[in-house]
Amino acid sequence: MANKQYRWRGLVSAQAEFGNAMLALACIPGSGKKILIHSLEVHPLNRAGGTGDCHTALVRCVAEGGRSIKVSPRDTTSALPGGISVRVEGAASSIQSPSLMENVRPQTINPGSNQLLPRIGPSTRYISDEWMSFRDGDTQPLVIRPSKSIALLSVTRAAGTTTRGQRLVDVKGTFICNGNTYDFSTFAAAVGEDTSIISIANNSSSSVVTLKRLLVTECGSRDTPYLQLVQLGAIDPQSLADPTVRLTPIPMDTAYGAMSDSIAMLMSNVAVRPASGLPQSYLTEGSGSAIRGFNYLHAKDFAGPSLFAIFPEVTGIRGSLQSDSCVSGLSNKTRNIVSPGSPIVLRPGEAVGLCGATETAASTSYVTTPGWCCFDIGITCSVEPAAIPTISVTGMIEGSRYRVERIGDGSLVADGVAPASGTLNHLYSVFDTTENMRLKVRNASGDPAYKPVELTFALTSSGITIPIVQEQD
Amino acid sequence: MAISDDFSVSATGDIRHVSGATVYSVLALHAWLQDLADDTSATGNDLINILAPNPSKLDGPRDVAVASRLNLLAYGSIVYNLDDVAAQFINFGSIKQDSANVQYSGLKTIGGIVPGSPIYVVQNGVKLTRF
Repeated sequence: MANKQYRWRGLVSAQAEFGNAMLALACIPGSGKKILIHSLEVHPLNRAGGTGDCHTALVRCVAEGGRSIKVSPRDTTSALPGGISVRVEGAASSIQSPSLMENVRPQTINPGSNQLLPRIGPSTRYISDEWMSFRDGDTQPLVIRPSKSIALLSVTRAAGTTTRGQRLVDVKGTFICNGNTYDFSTFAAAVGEDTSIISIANNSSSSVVTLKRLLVTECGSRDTPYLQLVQLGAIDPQSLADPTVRLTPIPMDTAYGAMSDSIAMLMSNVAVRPASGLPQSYLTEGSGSAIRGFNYLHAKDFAGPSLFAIFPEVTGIRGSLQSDSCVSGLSNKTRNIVSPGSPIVLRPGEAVGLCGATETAASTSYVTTPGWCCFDIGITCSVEPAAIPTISVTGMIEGSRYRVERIGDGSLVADGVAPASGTLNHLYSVFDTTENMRLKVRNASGDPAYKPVELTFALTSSGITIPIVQEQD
Repeated sequence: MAISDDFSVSATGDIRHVSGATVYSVLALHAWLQDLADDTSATGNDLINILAPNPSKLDGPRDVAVASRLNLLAYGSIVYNLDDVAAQFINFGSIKQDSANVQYSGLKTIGGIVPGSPIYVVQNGVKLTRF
């Protein structure tokens, strides 16, 4: 099992926090392993044209899956009680009917407009302060008791009305629990019917969540970001320790187990540093120190050392009646930006990230936003030893029988009869290279007979050379 | 007959006499065990090969001219050992086993005896065996 392969697929928001990497994969220093990226599929989900509506519903349900987002207490000493979580892009079951609220909005982004002009959609307040009051004091807040949860679903209701899902939405909320107030704010994706845009689950034993505010704002424009797959200098240490940005790849063979944090980390929306330090030029020439914005290419106009540059701004928007197009297609093969060619190799301490890039040379001022879009990302990578260690045994008498075995279970690593050179060179191509082993060398069937040699050693990723001397018996 | 025909070795290290009347030297026993130990696989009822731990160790070099001192080795559940019956078919040396808790020292008859005369081994006034 020298190679363990993993895959992750999910949604990332290009504009979640611009300047961060949409997706980053790091090979942890000291892991002794290398990461091979076999495929990276990028599939923009925005869609242009059509007459679909953005239809959402707030329901009581059992929230499932998705990923947790950060919840911030207004008083830093008030940690969020255990069992309470806010998650995005999950699923829901046991959906209660009728819904608590529903909202239908016509499509707001005009496909005929300038694609590069960001347009912000309408703000949809589900439970806002305004709604809560209804200008009277009788409306009760929405309460989520232990073992209960709510979710905001993307739904399709009427025949002929398409869900204008696959949109990026800005979600903000406030709730009270055990007398403390908590806020959350994130970008999330509405991707399809009955998927959860955001959910609040109360799996605590006794805490009660009182929802005070939930605002959902459709956002984005028809233009899409310029993306670059670049080598990273470092990933923000706080992000490395933040479980809410961590993505969990799925092993291609369940026997592999989970990808170990001590080997590799796959993250979304993390602060990163370019591979060559600061951006080459982050102040606009001839300006009063106007900030350009970050350019992860370490050069202007996409001339830098990126692994791939992706320009989906024109072709990246799907037409109303078109199926997947642009850099993607209906298969993961056509949307793969790594293939064909050799896999991208990450050695211990190295990382790559899928970053947005601003068009810094376009004018004397920096470009504010390179587009808003939600992306479906797939990545397939494998983990294997950074180097294949060699077990070398020298000095054996020709004809001696040798055996290398694992001490733990006595299983065979290598065996045979020493050649005239008296040397054994065995490439140990298994996944875990640090193992305690035993070497036996015996030659007592002929004349002269030799005393048996038996010794133990610890094999590391550096390999080992064992000179032996066989003494006549 | 070869020593391999007259003795067996179990997977747990029991060396037993199974047939024949030939008496072998301690050195022959050691050479046979070592010969088995470098085999790639075990054969018959001699369950020693390179998978097994080293069965024996001589004190000193192999020398057919002098009596040998042999150590039968032990590794956890594998304890190479002779029983009293098997020991009767080994001579010209001494054997230690079970971490020297059991020892078979060589017996030597002094002077000539009438052919066919029985020899008794007595310990603490009790007859152990008769040759």
